[in-house]
Amino acid sequence: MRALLTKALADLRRRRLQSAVVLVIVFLASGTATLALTLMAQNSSPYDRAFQTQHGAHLIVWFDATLVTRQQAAATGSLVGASAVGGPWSQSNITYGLGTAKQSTNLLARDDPGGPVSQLRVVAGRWASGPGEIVLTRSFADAYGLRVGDTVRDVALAARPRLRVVGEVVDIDEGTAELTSQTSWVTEDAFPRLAMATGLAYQVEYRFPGTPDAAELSRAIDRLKASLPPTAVTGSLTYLTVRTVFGITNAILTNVLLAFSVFALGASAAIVVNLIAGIVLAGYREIGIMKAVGYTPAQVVAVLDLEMLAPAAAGALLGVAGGTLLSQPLLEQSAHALGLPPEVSYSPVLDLAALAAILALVAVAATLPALRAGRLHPVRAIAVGAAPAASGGLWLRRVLGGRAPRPLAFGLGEAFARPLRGTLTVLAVLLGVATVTFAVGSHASLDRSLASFTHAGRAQVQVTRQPAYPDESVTATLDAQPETARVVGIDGTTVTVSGLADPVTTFGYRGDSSSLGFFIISGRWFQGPNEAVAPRALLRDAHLAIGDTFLASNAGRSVRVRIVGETYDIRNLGHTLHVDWSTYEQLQPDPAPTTYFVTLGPGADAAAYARRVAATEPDFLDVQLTNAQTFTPVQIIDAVTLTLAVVLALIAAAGVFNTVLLTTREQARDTAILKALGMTPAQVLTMVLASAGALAGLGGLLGAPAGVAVYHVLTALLQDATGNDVPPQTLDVFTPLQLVAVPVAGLVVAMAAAALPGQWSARTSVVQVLHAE
Amino acid sequence: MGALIELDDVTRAYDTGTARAALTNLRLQIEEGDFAAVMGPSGSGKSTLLNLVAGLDRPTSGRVVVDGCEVGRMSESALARFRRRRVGFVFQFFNLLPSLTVLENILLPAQLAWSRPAAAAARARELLERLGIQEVAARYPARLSGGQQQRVAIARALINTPRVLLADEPTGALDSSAGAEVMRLLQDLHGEGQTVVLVTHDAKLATRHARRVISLLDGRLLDDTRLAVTTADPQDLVRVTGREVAG
Repeated sequence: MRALLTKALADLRRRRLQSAVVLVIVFLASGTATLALTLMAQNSSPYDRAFQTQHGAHLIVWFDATLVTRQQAAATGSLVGASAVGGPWSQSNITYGLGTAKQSTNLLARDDPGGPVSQLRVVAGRWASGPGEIVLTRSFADAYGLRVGDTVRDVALAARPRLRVVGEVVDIDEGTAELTSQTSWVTEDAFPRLAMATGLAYQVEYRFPGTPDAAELSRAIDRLKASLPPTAVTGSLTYLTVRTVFGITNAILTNVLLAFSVFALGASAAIVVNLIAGIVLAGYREIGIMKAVGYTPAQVVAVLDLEMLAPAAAGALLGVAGGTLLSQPLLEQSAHALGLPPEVSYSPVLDLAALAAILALVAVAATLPALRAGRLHPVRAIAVGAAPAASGGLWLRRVLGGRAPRPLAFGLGEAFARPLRGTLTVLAVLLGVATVTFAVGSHASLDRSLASFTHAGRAQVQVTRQPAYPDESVTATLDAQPETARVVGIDGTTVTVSGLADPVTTFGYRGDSSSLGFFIISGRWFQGPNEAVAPRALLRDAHLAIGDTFLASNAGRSVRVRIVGETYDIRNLGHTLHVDWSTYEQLQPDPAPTTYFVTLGPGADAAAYARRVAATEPDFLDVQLTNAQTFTPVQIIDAVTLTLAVVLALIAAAGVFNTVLLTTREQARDTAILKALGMTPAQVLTMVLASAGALAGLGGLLGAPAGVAVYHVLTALLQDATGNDVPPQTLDVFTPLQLVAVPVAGLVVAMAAAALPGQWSARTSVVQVLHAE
Repeated sequence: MGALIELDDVTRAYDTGTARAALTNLRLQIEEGDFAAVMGPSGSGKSTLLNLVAGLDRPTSGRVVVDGCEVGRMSESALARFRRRRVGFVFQFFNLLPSLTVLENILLPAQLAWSRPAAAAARARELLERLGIQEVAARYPARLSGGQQQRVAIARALINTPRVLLADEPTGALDSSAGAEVMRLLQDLHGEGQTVVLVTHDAKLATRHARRVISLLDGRLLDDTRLAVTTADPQDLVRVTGREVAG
C-alpha cells in the first residue's frame, strides 16, 4: 500500500496541471449534479413541513353566497367526510392602488388566524383587530413592496377606503404572488364596508384523514355539487395544485439540471479516460520499470486510479458542498414564501451517495484505460519506451500534405491520430456546444412564451380598469388617442365545463384577439360564436379533442361550445378556456372587459401614450407597457441555464486543454525535429491550434444539432410540467446565425484553451527534448 | 576562403548544478568548403558546439556567427528560418518522422521553407538518386535499414541546399559497413563543395574523412589540426599541417 501511495503521490506532484484539470471538472460536474439532486429531493420538503404545521386544507371550495346560506356551507364538512373544516368565511375582492398600478386580491372576513384548518402564520405585525386594518400575504407584500404600517386604498370602491396593513401572514393554501391570485383578510365587522356589491361567496376549507389523491378530492367536489343547488359551487382548489405551483420553478430547474448533470459527468468521465489513456501511452517505460521492481498488474492500475481519484475526491468534496450550498437559496425561496424560518435543507445521505457515485464514475473511467497498463509486458514496455506512434490521422496528412501548408496538415492529421482521444475530445466539445445551444434556445423560448402572455411585440400598452370605472369611458379614452391602432378587451370568469369538477377560468376577448400572438399548437384560433381554444391540460382532463363540443355553464346559463384549437397558457397549469366576445356574452351576465391590450400605430411613443392614458383617471386605470413585465421564475431558469452553459463550456475547454497537453507532450520529439528542420514557433502553434480546431470544429458541428435535439426534448418536459404541449413557435427559436455562432464560439474557446500548451510546445528547447531522447 | 562559421569567445553554461560550463571561452573559425570533424570524449562539449552552430541553442556569452548571421541575437522565428535555409542537420539517431514516407521526410524542410513544389520535388528526386535511395522513396522509415535511414536524413538535410551540413555522430547508430558508407557520402559531398561539420568521438573516422580535426576537452579547445591527404592513399595517409593550441 505504501508503495502505491508513494508512486501515486509522486505522480500527482509531477502532473500537477493534469490533476488540477481533473479537480476542476469534477468540481463543476459534481456541483451541478448535487444541486439537481438536492433540489429534487428537498423541493417539496418546505411545503410539506408548512402544510403539516399549519394544518393546510386539502380542498378549498367557494360557494355562491346568493344560493347557499352560511349554515348550509358550514354543514358541508360532513357531506364530504372531512375530518376538519375551516370557515365558512365571507369572500369578496379588493383592489389596491399601488402607485400607477392596481392589484386585486380575494378579500376574506376572518377574526382569527388560528383554527382547525388553514392556520395562518403571522410572520410580521399582528392579526387585524377592527375596521381600517388589513392583513396581507407575505408573498403579496414582498411582490409589491408593502410593509406593516403602510396604508393602502381599495380603489375599486367609490369611497376608496383607506386601510392600514397590520400584519403579513403565510397562507399554506395559496401559491406565490408571482403565479397565483392572493388573499387579504379583514375582521368580520370590517368586511361589509369593503365587500363588492356582487360576486359574494363563502370560502370553506376541508381537511381529510390521510393524504387524499386527486380522484378522492374530485369525488368530494362532485358530492358537494350534487347536494347543493346547481352552480352553487363557484370554484375549488386542491392542495395538490398549490403544492405544484409552489415547487414549479424548482421542478423545472431540476429537469434541466439533471439532464445537464449527466452531460457534465459524461464529459468529465471522457476527460479522465483521455488522461489515463495518454499517461499509459506515454509511460510504457515507466510502467515496465514499475512491473520490473515488483508492482502487480492490479497495483499498476491502482496507482493510475489513485492519480485520478485523489484530485477527483477533492473536486467532488468541493462540488458536493458547493452544489448543496447553491441549492439553499432556491429552496429558501420556497421556505421564505411559506414563512418558514431559514433552515439548511439538505440530506447528508444524499450528499454522501452523490460523492460515492461520482468517485465510482471516476474510478471506472480511470480503470478502463489503466487496464492496458496492467497488461503490458515489462520487458517489452521498457524496450519500447512508449506506445507506437499514432497512425490514425495518416490518411488526412496524406490527403492534405500536397494541398495545405505542412503545419496545418500535421495539425489536422494529429487531431485524429489517436481515435479514442479524438472521439472523447469531440464528445466534450459536443456537450459544451450542445449546452450553450440549449441555453440560447431556452432563453429565446422563455422570451417568446412570456411574450405570448404579455403580448409584447403585438400590443404595446396594457390598460386595466377598476370595476367602478365603466368600460365605455375606457374605450372612449383609448379611441380618442390618435396613436391607437387596435384595442382588444379581455374579461375573465369561471365556467363549469362538462366532465370537469373544478370550474375553469375562462377569458372572453372583444376585438381581434388573433392579433395578440397567442400560440396555437394545433387547430386554429376561434373565429366566431361558440368556438373555443384551450391548453392541453384542460383538453386532457375534460377528455376533449379538437372538433369536440361540450357544455359550458356559468350563472345559470349554458352554452354548447366547440373546441377548434389547442393553445398555450400556463395559468392554472393549463386549465383555462378562451372564447370570443359573443360566446362570453352568452355565459357572463353584463360582461365588460377589465383589461385592454392596445396596439399603437407605427412610430408611436408607447411610454408617452401610457402616461397620457393613465392621467385621464389615475385611480381607476392601471396602464403598463407590455415589454416592461418581468417574471421571476423565468429569470431564475434563465440564470441557471446560463450558468450550466458556462459550466459545460468550461469542462469542454478543460477537455481540449487536456488533450492538447497530452498530444504536445507525446509529440515533443517530433515537434523538436520539425523545429530543428526549420519550423518556426508560429508554425508550431499553428499546428497545435489546427489539431485542436479540427476536434472542436467537429464537436461544434455535431454539438449544435445535438443541442437543438436536447432543447426539443427538455422543452417538451418543461411544457408538460405546466400542463401544455410544446408550441411550435417555441421550437423554431434558433436563427441560422446562432446555429453558426455557437459552434464558432466553441471553436474559439477550444483554440484559446489549446493556445497555452501550443505556446509551451513552440517554446520548448529542441536541444533539451532531443537530448532527453 | 572567408570564415563561414565563427565562434568568438563562446561560453555555454547550463543550469545543471555543475560548476563547469559545456563550452568555455571557445574561439573558432570554420571556412566555407571545409570538412571539420569535432572530436572529444563524452561531455567535452562537441554536441553543444554543433547545436550552437545549428541555431538550436544560444551561447551564454560570446558570439556565434554563421554565414553572416549572429545566432545568439536572432529571434526564435528568425532562427527557424535560419535553420531551414542555411543549415542541414544530420542526427545520430536519424530523427526521421515515422509517420511520413521517405520522400515526405525529405521534402519537409522545403515545404516549411515554402519552396516551389515542383522545384522541391526535382531536388528531392535528385537527392534520392544521388544518395542511392530512390527505390525506398515511398517507404516508411521503420522499414529501412539504419544506413538507409541515415541517407534519408542526409537527403533531408540537403533539400534546401544549406550552406553548412552539420552531422552529429552520424555513424553512431550504424554498423561499421553502413557507417563507412555514410562517411564516404559526406566526403563526396564535401568534394562537391559542401561545407561539413562532423561531430564524432571516433578518431579513425575523423582522420580518414575530414580535412580538419578540432578536439575539445571539458568544453575547451584542446587541439585544432588541419590534415592533408596524400594522393597515394587518401584513406590512410595523412600529414599534419595544423597547429596545436594550448589547452
